[in-house]
Amino acid sequence: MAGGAAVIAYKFLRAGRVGPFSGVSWPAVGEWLTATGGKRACEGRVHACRVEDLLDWMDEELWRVELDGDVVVDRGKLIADRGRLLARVDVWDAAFMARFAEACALRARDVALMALAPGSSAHAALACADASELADACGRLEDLDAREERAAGYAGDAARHVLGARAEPRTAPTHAAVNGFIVAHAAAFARDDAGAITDERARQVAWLVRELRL
Amino acid sequence: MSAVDHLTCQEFVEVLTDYLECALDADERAEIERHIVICRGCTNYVEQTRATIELLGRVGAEDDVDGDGLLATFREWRAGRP
Repeated sequence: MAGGAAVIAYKFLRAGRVGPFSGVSWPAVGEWLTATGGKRACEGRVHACRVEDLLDWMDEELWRVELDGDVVVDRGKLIADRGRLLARVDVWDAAFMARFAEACALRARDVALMALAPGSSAHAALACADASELADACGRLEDLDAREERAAGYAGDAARHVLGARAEPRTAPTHAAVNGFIVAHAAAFARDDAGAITDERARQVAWLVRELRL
Repeated sequence: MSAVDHLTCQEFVEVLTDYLECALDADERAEIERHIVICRGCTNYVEQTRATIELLGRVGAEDDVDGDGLLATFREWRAGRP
């Protein structure tokens, strides 16, 4: 992408348009933030995401950005000479993050159900409609074998993260990101296939693209 | 697609100093930052460490504690122990 046309991408920021790792305050919409450069890896480049990178970088604000100059695709991110905010993705807020976290928790429930014996009391107990019920149900399960316990454990953890996101909206980005991580690993465990991680992450990205209308 | 291959908290703590001193390469740095996104505990730890470094950076020579007084206080405290 070197020297090519401007690239449209996404950028997660902390509240107030602040870079989560650099602490840099992004200028107002439409104004360019230019890389200051530097010899060390952490110094002065503009970073952003493609949609497939969103899961790794969740934070309080999501912005649509334009990148310009030398734009490089790096593992899990884009690096550019300069960038500017185009518009905030308003749908992305703490409630939305909790909703994403719950979608992941319910997916973890489905994955757990695959690992539990059909007709068992545990299987029946996990047939829950929401995260609150799921957290309660997972906390009451007894007499599980190691495989069942681990599968239900993933679902229970994910359900509790939903409750955490709702209880403390400031922490919603962490809870949402963790739940994406949990359900990916739950699927890999249930399928005994590390490739399931990639499949689950693709499913989560598709959910975000659809719900955020990216 | 993300490999979701994250550091553990222990690995994170082991390389945190290098991270804060910008001594990691870009890939290592990205791994650290991916961990920060998903780990509230390590996020707090980084923030506390950064705050400590910032505070220590503000301590000048004129802020030096009274070494003799501190030693005397310590000796008194020690002498009073059973």
